[in-house]
Amino acid sequence: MDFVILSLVMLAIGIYGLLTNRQLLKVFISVELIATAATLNFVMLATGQGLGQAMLILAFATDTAVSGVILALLVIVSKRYGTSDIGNIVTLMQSKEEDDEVESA
Amino acid sequence: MILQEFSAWFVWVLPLIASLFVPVIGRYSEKGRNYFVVTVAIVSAALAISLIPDVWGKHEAVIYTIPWLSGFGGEGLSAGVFIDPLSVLFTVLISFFGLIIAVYSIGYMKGESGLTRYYYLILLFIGSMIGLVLADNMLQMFIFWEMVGLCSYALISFWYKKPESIRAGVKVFIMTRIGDIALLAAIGLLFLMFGTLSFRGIINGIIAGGFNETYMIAVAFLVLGGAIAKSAQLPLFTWLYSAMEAPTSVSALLHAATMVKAGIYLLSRVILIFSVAPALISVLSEALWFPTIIWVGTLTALVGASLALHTTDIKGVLAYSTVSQIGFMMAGLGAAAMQGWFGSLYHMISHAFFEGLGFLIAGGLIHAVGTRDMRLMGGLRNAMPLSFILMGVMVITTSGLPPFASFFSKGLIITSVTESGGVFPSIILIATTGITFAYCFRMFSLVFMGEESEYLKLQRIHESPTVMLIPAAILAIFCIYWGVGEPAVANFLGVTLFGGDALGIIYEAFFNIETPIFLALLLPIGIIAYYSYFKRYNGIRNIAAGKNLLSATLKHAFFFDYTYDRVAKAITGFSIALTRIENAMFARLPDEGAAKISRAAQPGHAITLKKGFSGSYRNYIAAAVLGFILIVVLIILTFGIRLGGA
Amino acid sequence: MSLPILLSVFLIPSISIPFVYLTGKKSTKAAAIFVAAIALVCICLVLSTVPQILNSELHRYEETWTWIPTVLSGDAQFAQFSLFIDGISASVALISLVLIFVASLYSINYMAGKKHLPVYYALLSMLTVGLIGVFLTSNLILFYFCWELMLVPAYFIVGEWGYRNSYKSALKLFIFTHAGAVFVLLGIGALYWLTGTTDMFITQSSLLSLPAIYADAIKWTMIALTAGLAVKMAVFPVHMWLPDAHSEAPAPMSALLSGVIISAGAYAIIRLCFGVVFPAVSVEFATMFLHGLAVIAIITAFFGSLLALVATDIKRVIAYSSIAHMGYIMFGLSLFPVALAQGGSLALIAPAAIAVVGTVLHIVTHAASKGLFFLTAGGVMHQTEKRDIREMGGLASKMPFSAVSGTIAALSISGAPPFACFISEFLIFVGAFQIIQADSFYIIPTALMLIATVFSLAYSLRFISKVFLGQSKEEVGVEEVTNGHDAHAQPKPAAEEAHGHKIVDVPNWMKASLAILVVLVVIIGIYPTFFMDLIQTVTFGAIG
Repeated sequence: MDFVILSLVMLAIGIYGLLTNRQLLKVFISVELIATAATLNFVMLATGQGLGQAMLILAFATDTAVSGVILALLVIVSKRYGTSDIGNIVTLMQSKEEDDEVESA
Repeated sequence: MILQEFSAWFVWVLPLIASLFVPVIGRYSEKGRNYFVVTVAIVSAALAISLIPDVWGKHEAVIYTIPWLSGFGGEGLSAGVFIDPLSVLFTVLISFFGLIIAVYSIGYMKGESGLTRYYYLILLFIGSMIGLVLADNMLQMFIFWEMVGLCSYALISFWYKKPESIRAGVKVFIMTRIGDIALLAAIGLLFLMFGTLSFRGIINGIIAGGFNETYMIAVAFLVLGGAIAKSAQLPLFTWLYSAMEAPTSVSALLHAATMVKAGIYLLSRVILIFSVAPALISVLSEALWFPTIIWVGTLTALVGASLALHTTDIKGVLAYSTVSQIGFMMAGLGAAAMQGWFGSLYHMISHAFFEGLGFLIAGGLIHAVGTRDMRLMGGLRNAMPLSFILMGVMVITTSGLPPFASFFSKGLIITSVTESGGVFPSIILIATTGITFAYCFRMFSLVFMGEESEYLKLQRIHESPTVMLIPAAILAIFCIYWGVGEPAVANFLGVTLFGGDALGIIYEAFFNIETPIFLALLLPIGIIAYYSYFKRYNGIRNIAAGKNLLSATLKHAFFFDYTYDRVAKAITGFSIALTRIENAMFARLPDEGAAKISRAAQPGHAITLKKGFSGSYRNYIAAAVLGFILIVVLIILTFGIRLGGA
Repeated sequence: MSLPILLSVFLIPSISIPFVYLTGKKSTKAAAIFVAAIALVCICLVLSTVPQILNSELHRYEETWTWIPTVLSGDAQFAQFSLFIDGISASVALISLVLIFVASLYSINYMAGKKHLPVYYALLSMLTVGLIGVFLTSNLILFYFCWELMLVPAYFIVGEWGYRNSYKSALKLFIFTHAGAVFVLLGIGALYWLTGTTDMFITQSSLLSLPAIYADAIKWTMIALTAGLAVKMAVFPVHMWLPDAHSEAPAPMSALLSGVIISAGAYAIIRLCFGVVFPAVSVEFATMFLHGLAVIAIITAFFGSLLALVATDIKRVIAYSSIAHMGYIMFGLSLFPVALAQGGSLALIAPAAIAVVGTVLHIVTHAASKGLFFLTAGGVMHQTEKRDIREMGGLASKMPFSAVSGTIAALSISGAPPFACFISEFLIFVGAFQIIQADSFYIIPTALMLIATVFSLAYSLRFISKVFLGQSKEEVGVEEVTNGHDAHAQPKPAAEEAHGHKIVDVPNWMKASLAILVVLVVIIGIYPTFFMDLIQTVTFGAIG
């Protein structure tokens, strides 16, 4: 039962982080926190059953690989726009798109 | 028999398939297309006439079927033709009129654009209408019923650049659809009761008995609803006047001769089916079905005639006249007697002749003068002598003067209504016959009598071309001589009247109570008309132009259209309010009418986008959290709360 | 079973995804034809199973392979890769493949000149895989996998190649249907917990033999599954994603979304809810549940029709019309005869089951007609570069082919014979009267649905009148039309000739795809027996 409460707390922290942060890396950490909370919950519930644990190891591994890719993308995006604030990046992206359109028109 | 089967199928399949070829031929040659259409109409009429000898006087129908739909809890539904005197009567009428109008259109529609579409629709209509009357099951009939409505919509909106035509087409289609759903409900109930939709199956089911009578009463009333809408009776009659936006040849074919008679066909067929079980007829009479029909017909006749008396539009006179005459037919059917049933059908044919003739001449008039308003016509008897004579024939035959056809038919109807419905409806019907005479005479006088105005003299009106006059003349001949055809038609339909011999029938007609009353009615009306139009007595005109209740009611067509408009506006207003609520609640993309599809190059727009996008995903996450809580609640409800241990 | 037909139907589109992408880099036209060819191959393969469906004992065709084993328990299977096809699957799959075929041909002209087209065609292949998986599987896990798989190409196609605020609309689509899918997952999980298997047929028979304490669980599973699948169907409370997504998607995707993807929701309700869970619920609950569906259906149908009546954006009219038709389909679903669930084939229990036959047939006919409708509207948008129907008019003379196909589509949607949707609506209504005899609750819903058809005629005729009939607006001066919720605001007429070119009819590939659908709509309307035969062989309830 305790780990359910642990997962719920982790989930809450993760959601809070997702909702309030504007820094790219912090958003990513929050998302990973949510995923880990869910995985932890399922790992502890799947006692003694091979299939459950096997699937979760698979999920964990996929998660790690995807994290690698996401981190790489985050680095590229922040290098390109020079900032790691989501709002600023979106503004810059859109004005860049408009510039592209005006140029090609 | 093989010829009968072949004719029965091809008389409607041929025009339907041929209509597909019209666009192909029309691409290459206009004249070829016109000749093609007329040829198909001739062949169809020939096939229809060939059906006559085999069914003369038969009471049992001949049915041929081919398999079509599977399932339906059994053998499935087959498509088929149901050949009995009633169907053949209508078939001959429809194909004959199709031919007449095809020839007439060559002259009337000369020089119009979009004629390929016009002829395609005319052929499609002829095929569908004949398919309707020859169908052997309710589904097939309903399919053609709606297709006929579709052709009507397309032909009314023929001049699609005019907003009035478009509006008229939409109004007509929607109003007739209301009747269609009543008919659909009736079909559903019939299938529930008998497990089959074919006429033969339903007849067998009724003979076998044991069905739920409440359902049957519901079926009867729903069928009546469908007939009311399609045949322009109270309260769904206002569409017929709007349908006058169509080219006059279309008005003649659809809205005088054939499509509006579809409701009469439906009721006749249904009454014929019901009459295999006399017990059912009495049940329905007790449920007031038949009296309802009589009253609907009678009141419609009165309303139609009074509106025809009031309107200044020549096609309006003919439209309201149709409404009124079909009211007569309905009243005849409601008499629940062989006499009335026959009188109604006989009147249907005579009406087709004289109303069709009226429309054909009106078409010529509109072409010549350039307007539909009768107040701008007048004194045309010198400029258009042949039209003058033909219209005169129409007026005399419409009014019910002996020895012409409508005298006999109206007499039969009024007699049978008196016998079954009592005195009240027949008094109204006799009064309506008087008004019929009045409006015919009025139309005739306004258009042809009097002096030509200066404006018309300058226009140098000339007579209609021969190709338009010949069909009219043919109809006129039928109008004149149709009266003597009554006994033949009675024999054809297998109806015995007054001992069944020709002289007996005609003798009866002259010696019942209605005749002297009716003829006596003509005298005062004739006097009033003479004074109003020849001697320019203004008394009636002053009443009509005055501000009294009668003229206001007439002017607004008894406020039916007014009510319908208000209902439509209310629905639209409600929908707009609903849209606003919907948009406000869900922060919907505003319904821009921007001409540019791409993002507008306005600075303000970019800001909206920016705020919208990054802001919104937080909303969605918040919604996701709420959803999560909801899921947890659901889980708890499903599995029960499990506390402690896992 | 020597040639694994169904596996090929599933694998051919999947394998081809990268190849389509590579072909697209060389030539987008070739990629489109590749996708169309794949769809055609799949159609032929599905058609080859039809004789077996019609004539075999069980009226279905199955193939099963091992997939996900349960590790410690030896041979026991957690999930099999089991594919099967029966009358309903075949009908729906056929019409979906036809729509994909038509949409890819249409995209040759419509999407010409847009960016990243190879990805677009690859995404179309991915969508095919998802659809085939949903329609052809009898395993719950595989079903869920393909169900979610459909969302990815939908999101990207709507977002990348869509119109105003496209990513926002795509996000709405994704979030709503994904949230619904969570409920579906919940239902599937509950089914596994209750029965220990993920195969639809075994689950269904196991559910029947469960002791009574689980009755509540089964009830809520049913509700969860239906709620989740109904989000995809876009019925009244959860319809919010549909108008934006369908209006802002590019026309071929709108046709697929409206025609096929929301029909997948209806198909899934028939397959999962009625096929698997329904036999095990108590009769009282079943009746209440069906009545609830009927109420939702009526609200949806009126809601959609009324909003379509006053909408001013050409694609939004059609989107609301889709909501209304999903209302019809849900009404047909609510007419599912309770007796049928206890076992029996549609042909045997008929005539009580006519409504079900009508509903499935309506899925097919609606897909064809709505596809035609959206593709024509897309053509109109493409040629005139306008979206607001208040600015259109008189297009019948300039775009005759589109006018004819648009009129046929609109009339079919309104249920006018001889076009397709008439016969399916007719069957639903006839079936409704059958059910009324058994359960008189349905009198008022049936009457209301009949009235709703008048409204559908109204908005169809309005569409035809405003877009094709009338006169084209004269040029007054180019002015931006203001935003507004008010449909009655006076529109300022925009230029008739946009950007200085005349309005002509649509290009040839678009004409071809419209023509295929027109022919299909007319033929199904006159001779629906092929589909009706297929549908009526389906057996619900216990096998054998």
